[in-house]
Amino acid sequence: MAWLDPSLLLLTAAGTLAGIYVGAIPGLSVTMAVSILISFTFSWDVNDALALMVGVYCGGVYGGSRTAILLNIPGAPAAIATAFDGFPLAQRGEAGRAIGVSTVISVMGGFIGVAALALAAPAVAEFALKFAPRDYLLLAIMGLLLVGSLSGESMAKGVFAGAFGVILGLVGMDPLTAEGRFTFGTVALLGGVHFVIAMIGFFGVSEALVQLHQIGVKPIKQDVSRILPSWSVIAKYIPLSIRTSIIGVFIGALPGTGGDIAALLAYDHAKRTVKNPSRPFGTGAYEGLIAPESANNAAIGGAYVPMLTLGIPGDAVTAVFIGALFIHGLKPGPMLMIETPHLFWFTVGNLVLANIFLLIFGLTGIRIFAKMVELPKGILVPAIIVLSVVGTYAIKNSLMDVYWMLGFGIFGYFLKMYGYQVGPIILGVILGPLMDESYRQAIISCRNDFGIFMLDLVTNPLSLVLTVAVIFMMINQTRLWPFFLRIFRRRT
Amino acid sequence: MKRGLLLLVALLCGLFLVSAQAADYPDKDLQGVIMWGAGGATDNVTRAITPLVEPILGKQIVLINKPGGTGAISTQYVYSNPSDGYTLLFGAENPQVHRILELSDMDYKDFYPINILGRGVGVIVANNDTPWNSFKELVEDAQKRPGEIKMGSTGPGGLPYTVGAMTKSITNMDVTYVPFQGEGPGVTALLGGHVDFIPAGITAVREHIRAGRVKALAMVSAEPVPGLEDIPLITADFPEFEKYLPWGPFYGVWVKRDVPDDAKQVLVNAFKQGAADPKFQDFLKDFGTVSMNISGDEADAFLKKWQSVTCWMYEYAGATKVSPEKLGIPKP
Amino acid sequence: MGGLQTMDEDRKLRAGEDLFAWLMLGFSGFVLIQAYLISGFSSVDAPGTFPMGAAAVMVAASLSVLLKNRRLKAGQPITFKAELNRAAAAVLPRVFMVYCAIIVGYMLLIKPLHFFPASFAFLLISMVYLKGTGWFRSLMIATVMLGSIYIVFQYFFRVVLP
Repeated sequence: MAWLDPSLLLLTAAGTLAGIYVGAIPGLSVTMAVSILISFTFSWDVNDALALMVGVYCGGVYGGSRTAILLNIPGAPAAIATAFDGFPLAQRGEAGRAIGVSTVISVMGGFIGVAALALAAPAVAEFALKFAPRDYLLLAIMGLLLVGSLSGESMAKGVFAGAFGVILGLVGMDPLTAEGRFTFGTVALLGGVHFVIAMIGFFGVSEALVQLHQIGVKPIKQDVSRILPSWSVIAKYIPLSIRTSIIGVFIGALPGTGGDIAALLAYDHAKRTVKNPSRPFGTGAYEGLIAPESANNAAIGGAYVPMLTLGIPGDAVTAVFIGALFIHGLKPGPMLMIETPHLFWFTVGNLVLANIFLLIFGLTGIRIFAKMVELPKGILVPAIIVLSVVGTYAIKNSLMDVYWMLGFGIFGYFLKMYGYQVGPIILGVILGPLMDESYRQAIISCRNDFGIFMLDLVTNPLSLVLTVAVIFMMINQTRLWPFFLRIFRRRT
Repeated sequence: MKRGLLLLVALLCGLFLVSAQAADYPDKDLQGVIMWGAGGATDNVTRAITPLVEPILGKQIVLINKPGGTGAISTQYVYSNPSDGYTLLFGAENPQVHRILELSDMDYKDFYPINILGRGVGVIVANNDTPWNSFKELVEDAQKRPGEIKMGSTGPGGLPYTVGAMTKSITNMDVTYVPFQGEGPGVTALLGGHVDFIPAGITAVREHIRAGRVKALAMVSAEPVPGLEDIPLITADFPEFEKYLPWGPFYGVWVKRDVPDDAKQVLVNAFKQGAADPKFQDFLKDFGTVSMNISGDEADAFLKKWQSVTCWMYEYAGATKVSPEKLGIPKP
Repeated sequence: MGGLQTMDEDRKLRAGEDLFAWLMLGFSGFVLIQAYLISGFSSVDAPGTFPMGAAAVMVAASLSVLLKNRRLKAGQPITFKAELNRAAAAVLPRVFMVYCAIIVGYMLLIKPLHFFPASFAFLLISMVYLKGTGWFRSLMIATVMLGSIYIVFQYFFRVVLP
């Protein structure tokens, strides 16, 4: 096996380690790192280049959870859902344990993703192609229903935040008609607001500002005595993490969605199906940490599925990988697996290795990370702000973005003070554009006829399943649910 | 004696340094702004050429992606930087239609073409389940069932959109245009059968054609493309297309017009040499792009012609916000 | 504050909460008008249709928040000015105001002073102001932090910092 070559082993390890830090630093993305590596590895052998990049990819997706748990700043979009329960855990002094559990579960999710890639890639890819625009619309609605569980004290405030997020996500040039939306006639706004900027502002800076209220308060002591979760703890969560990993694989394999949406849907799934979580969701439930962490790492294997079988990127990072293959003289496409099957197995082997290194690197040094939260707020808050500024700037080399980010931070502070949650905003920013686009594609496909649109929803088997699921989830969230249950019980 | 010689050499060197201050260019790293996101075609071409040009320039080109507004953001950003030749714009065809779409009042008239590296060719592909075997059959079917056939498209400026406008102006066929973010997602929808056909760049569909997953109906070109000779040319059935051809997306490098000539010359030479490198030529071939490697006036003429053809085609298709007439873009 | 969720329907209204809700309603109305201006009611697939829907949801949600606040209000009619003062005391404590001013100053100085000097000054001043630690340790922390930012961002990622 080529990937067992010691130099390749070393490259994968180096990539994974670097990836964890790239992922953990908000604003530095895996996409960016892999793009830079293309130039860096230009003259290398293609196997060496891929080994390094695969490591960075796996490490980066995992690394995002670090800052999400410790500082409430998701280091990468895929870690947004991790912050919902991860950060409350850190505030309870269980940061070490949370990172330990998330590492083991991430690696497990990663392995499930690789297994799906190795065993069922062609079938999964064909299934992913079946998703029509209307199905993406249904998926986006499903994700947006999560607003209901992230609303905090008032549903109305959650809905407000979610809708505001949608609007924020739509700022800029409409990709389908080249029309400016909320741009006030300026070119600067044509590019829209990068969602990572909104994420850093609303999560990171606003949280830092809220913490100014507790400036003199002594930080919570972190318990670092039990970092490695015991086998019995892990075993308890295995069924959930398998379910959410499967969600991750499929959502990752869909060309229009990636690890961020996979993690959000997985969180939603956990919230609906786990009857007795270790704590209520949103206050530090381990289930709420496990679901997104297994899903986003499983989504890596998923994203490789359409890339290796069809030459279609499963997410932004695999799009860059396709470019790298071109540059190295390969022809990514449906023939890649037929003409160069060794490349497929090389990638599979590399992903396995990267996940093993993830377990090793992920479990070392947790103590130091956890102790970071124990720093006095007077050091932590300025550090978060400088990191947010440099991270935001790095995305597009734009100072304008930095001003936006700080504006979001201050606005987010007021929202938080008045009981609005910021989670739904990010949900809206991510899902809004997907919803807008797929809604319009779906309705245009039916020549603007709502009748045909509705008919399509129930006549196509895949759409029907998704429609039923959406209706079920909607009823489940409203007061109608107990009513239905009562009728059902009376009958039986 | 020896000492005198040394002194002379030193003096000469000093003189040379003073007189050739501008010839020192580049004396620091350059910045390269890519107008599309990571993983896009422009990004791929850029990242393939820069490692070949860097050793010639002796400096690094630090690349950043500044996507947004189909390139309007990058164009404006590069324009707002000093005209010292240290900021390069790596772009595609898009700015040439920005003015008629009112996206920006800037296009390549404000920039000097260092090198137009290559251009893509469009091909019309259909889902395997559709009944047509040629573009002619598709057009006839579309005339029989107006609005029922779905074409994958993009926003204005994209290749599918433009070729769609071209075919509409010539065949007057009535199909439903389903827009996607780019041709990549459009081709994915074609593979899943959510649209019936799509005009796309060869890069995006070549491997799918080779694997038999889609069928190629016509090449949007007047002359055969090496390696894909067996795809019928669109001009065979519809010779009217010839007036628009060759048409396709292109990729290149620009600097601001008022960059000093010496710097322009250094860049032109470096990119000319880099683009001629067999490694880059192989890349272009795999990428389904026709190599151009032109610069200066030759490139400007190409850009002007491209703009006039495209803008007027958009005008006929009713897709413009400002008439090309008003902007002084001549009729083709 | 962060993740704590409380479903208390019968809590007291926060100082200035009603005012904020009114502001948000105004903001939503503004967004709705802007959304309408994109393409009006031209078609169900127009670029402005979906934004208008989302903006309408914002308006409806802010109205609902205002209604709920009405129910929460426990009488005690107070003047607008007193309410403002109460809100300012609760939401805009001195430390927040001063610190925001420091942040804005930092923002404005990034360009003229360049990133590293501006950040160094910002870190020093804010760590001392927030009583995080003494001058000497602040100096150490700022140096180490900016050093690592330099290595990671400017050296490895080749980000051209301002």
